[in-house]
Amino acid sequence: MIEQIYPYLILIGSTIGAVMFYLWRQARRVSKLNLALIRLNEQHQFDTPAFLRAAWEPLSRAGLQGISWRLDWFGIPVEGQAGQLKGEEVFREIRVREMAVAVTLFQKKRQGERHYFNESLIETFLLLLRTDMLIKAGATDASLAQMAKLNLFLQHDMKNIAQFIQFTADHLQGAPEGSEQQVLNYLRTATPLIRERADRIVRTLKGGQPQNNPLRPYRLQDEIEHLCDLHRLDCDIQGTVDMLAPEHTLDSVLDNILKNYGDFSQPEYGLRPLVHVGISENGNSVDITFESQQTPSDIPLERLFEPFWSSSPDGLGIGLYQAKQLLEMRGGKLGVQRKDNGALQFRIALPGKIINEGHMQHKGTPTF
Amino acid sequence: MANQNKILLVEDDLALRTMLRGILELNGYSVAEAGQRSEALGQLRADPAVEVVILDLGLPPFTHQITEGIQTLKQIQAEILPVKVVVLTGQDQEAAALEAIREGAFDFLAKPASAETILGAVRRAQLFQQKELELNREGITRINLNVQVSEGMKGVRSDAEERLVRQVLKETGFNVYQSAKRLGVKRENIYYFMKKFGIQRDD
Repeated sequence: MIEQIYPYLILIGSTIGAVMFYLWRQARRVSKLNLALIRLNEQHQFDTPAFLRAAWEPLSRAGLQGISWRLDWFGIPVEGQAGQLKGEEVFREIRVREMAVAVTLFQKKRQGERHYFNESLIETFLLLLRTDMLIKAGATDASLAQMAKLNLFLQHDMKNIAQFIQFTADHLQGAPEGSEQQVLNYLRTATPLIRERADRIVRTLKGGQPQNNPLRPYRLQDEIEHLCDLHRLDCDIQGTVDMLAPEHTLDSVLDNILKNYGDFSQPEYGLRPLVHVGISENGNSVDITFESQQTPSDIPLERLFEPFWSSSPDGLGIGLYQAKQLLEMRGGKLGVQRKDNGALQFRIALPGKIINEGHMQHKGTPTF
Repeated sequence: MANQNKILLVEDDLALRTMLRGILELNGYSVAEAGQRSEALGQLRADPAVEVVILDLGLPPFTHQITEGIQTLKQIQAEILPVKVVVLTGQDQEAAALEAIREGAFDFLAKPASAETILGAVRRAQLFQQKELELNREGITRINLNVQVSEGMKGVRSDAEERLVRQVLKETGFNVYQSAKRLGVKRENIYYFMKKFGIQRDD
């Protein structure tokens, strides 16, 4: 009895096998086309207009008849088409902020599995378009926010410099007779401070990369003490090293790190945050650690070196990023970690020539 | 009266502060300096000889915003410190001016301002301050009020009462007897107002 149904069972099995094989091949083909679309989008760096122009090739391989699109890109309308504009239409409009795209895809009328395979491919294509537009919107927002932040900083700093120039002119013009020496004293005190500020602005504009960066002798303890005072920090400094280091690199790095302790700490007014500083020689470089427990515990460490991220509404968020870049350009390192006792620790490895004790000259002397 | 020419300069930029101090000193003023809010308020509380404050609104820790400067102004008003405040700032002019005037600034100057402009503002502020003190000695107290007209007279009266009682209590060193005498009311009324407005000696 059972022998009689063998041929049927074989036939049914073969049919199922053939159908499975067919579906497997179709699925594989569609999967490859989906991947091709994704790769193509990556090649065009997620740029909607470029991707839209190049997408017809993989879409045509999927058996689509044609495509027409209308793009409104920040107020500029552009249109395009490819293939034959006939058959069943799939129309979709995507709008993200000042970008809009209306796409019509043309396909042969398909039934069953082919309809679903094509639908999957079309949806992938549309999803990629939408994602590209959202990426663009995000990037545009971020750029505008960064520009606004930078503008705010520059405007404030430039106004202060303009005010300084105004005061200097007023001093020079209106100094009462006999008070010239006094005016000179005011200028002597204030001019280096404004020069420091101007240098900082220039460094910010250049992305932290100074043009002239001569080596200068440093007594690290003195340098750090001076900056701590400037940022109203109480610094407990252990160890000292005299070294030759690139002038603007060291200034900029130390300044940015200490400024951040001031920003993070936000102490009760009148109380200066305490920062422990350790300085030690390590072969041909110097290790400097900065540590303070007066920092919020919720600072996300991974964001600290991200450009234009700041924990403070007042921060530009570029300082630490620049400091890290500057150090790495010189073969140094800058790292950050949260210690077991909760202290936020920055660690610098700064390559440079160590000067033996007794050979240290006053800053800026031409000995070196 | 103590030193009639004392100015408090509140500016976090040390270079500007030095230069402006120079201008003021060369024009006969005695200058005290502060780089942030707490320091400024501390000096004002400790030194009643200060007549005029030149205040930068962008103070640490938020040097690119007006919050700290405005907060300083608010505290000066709340504590009824007897000074006139001339705001000198590089912040967004429109918004900063509106806020500063709302919080009782006497004058508003945008950076960069010339020495002549600043000195002019300081002289006017000083004149107003001195004349107000003279009026005060004659028993006339000037009070500053921000009122929401739409809230009607009742609210205005209540605000004025509170401000006046606070001011007189402060001027008399919290002496209820003298305050009542100056205001022409009974001591019980002063206690009533103190309770009503939550005025405490530490205010």
